[in-house]
Amino acid sequence: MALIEVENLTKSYKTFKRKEGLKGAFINLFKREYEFVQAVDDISFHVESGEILGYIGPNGAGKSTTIKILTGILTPTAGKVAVNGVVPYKRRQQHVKNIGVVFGQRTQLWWDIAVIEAFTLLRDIYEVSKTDFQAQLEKFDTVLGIGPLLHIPVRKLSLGQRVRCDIAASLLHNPPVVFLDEPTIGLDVAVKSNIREFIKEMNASLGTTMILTTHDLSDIEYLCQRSLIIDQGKIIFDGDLQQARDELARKRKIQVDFYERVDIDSIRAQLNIVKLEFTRRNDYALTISFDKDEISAIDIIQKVLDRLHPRDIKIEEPTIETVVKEIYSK
Amino acid sequence: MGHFRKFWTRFRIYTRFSKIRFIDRLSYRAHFFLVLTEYLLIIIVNYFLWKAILADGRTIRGYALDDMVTYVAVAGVFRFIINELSGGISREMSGQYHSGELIMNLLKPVSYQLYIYFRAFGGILFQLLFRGATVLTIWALLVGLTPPDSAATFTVSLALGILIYAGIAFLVGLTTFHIENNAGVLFATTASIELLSGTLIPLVMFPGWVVSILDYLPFKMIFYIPIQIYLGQLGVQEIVSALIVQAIWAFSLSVAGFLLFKTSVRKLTIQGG
Repeated sequence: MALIEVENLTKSYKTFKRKEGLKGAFINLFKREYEFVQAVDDISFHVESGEILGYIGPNGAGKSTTIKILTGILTPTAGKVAVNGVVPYKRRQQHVKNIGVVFGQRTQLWWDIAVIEAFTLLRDIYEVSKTDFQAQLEKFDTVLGIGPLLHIPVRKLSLGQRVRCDIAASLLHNPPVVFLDEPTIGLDVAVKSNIREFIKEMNASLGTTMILTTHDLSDIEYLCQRSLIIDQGKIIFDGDLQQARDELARKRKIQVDFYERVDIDSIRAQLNIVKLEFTRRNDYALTISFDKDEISAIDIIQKVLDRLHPRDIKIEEPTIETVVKEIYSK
Repeated sequence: MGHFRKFWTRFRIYTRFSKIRFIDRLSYRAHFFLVLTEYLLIIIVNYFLWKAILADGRTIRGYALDDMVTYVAVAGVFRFIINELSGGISREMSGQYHSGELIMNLLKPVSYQLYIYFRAFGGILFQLLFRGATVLTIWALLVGLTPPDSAATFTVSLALGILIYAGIAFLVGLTTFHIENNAGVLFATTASIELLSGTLIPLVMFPGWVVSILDYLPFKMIFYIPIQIYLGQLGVQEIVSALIVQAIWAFSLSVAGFLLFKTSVRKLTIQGG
């Protein structure tokens, strides 16, 4: 049995359609029109224990709604959800004891107290022993550098400091399941890479199961074997993005720069390879496109070097971004 | 024993929410004195009003000037509590709903209702220990104050009154989940509580039919019963039955809050992200 099970999950909202302007506002007082929004539309997926699942999609695709249902905040309109055998929204208090949640955009800490006070309060709430707590604090200090922040009131922390404390706070009780909703939003490169390392390490050493939502695809590339892509409430991709990139991006591109003006017809004749496409980038540069399953890049490059007189050659690798864009646009 | 220990650890956690609110309330000095002055002025105005009305030993429905001197001061202090509960429970809940802090609290293995209650209790403790004590001391020194007829029964009754209002304030706070903007509901209930709980004038001064309707509502249980016990207007029999009715109201309102919270959370729609 999978650790997280989602079957035919649907969540629809009834929203009030506001009419604009003064006249509209007046009409709204007496007559209201509602419309239904399908935030999540009949999705199913499983997450195995110890997996890090990437969960991506454009804004408003239904990512956060899914996370909020899995964490027990929202009740689904239809469908089944179980995390570790518990139906989140039915037994919220029991459920949240065993999960950790990081919402990068909002804090999990109580505003009006110092970080360490919030931590000790969480320690008591989650019934973490004092020795375990001390060990966790030391670990978080090494990886996230939160030591100097402990005595600052939460409301005075900068975004980066706050997110680091937030991550520590939500993992204090070593939860077996962790939801990370945009954990690296707005962070600088150094902090970001620290956090990534930390997530990877935690998953490797403790076998923590994680669902990671992010717009930063390099997070996904670094951390996730498997990803789901959701768009308009439906799952449009479920699998390994690296593999998808290799499969999807059969079209490769080589950019060649020259010392002399480019004459496409003579270059085509000199190379003498069928099924190449040439596009002129400017007077001294062109792009050669080809299908990597039909022609090897090595062949092309060798002929370019032998027969032409290039100034520079660059092979364009398709990025995860282009792959995701391609999946979105399908 | 195990159950008791568990209960005690949980209780200690919730008292820490009280402590946080208490310390938070302590940290605004200017605000402390401004509010203190405002409420003291209201008590003084009320006092002079009653002094004029009840001149030359006159009484209205059994209330003489001596009673009213104490009445306006205790009522004045109670208004701190009303203020704390409407702000610390109803408005706080509405604020948390709109800021998303509610979500963060739902993600913790604690009861939201108890968390809200205990925070408010911390605020009330601050109001009584600092503002209340200051106002009553000033009043006792300048004008005079009769001590409560039975301090213990008064304290119990007052605590129950506070619980009843906490229950109402929690229900008002929950309306935000359904109608988005509950400022109107909040304003209306705070105004009715001030009027119908007896903090403005003794309820016995209302027309007879109003008084008999109020017997069936929880409002008089909030302040009027405690102040009547304070002034020694109730016999032992009456006190016992009043305390029982208070306890029933306190319990039912909190249970209603508990149940309504459950269904309200199910209907929660948080969009975006």
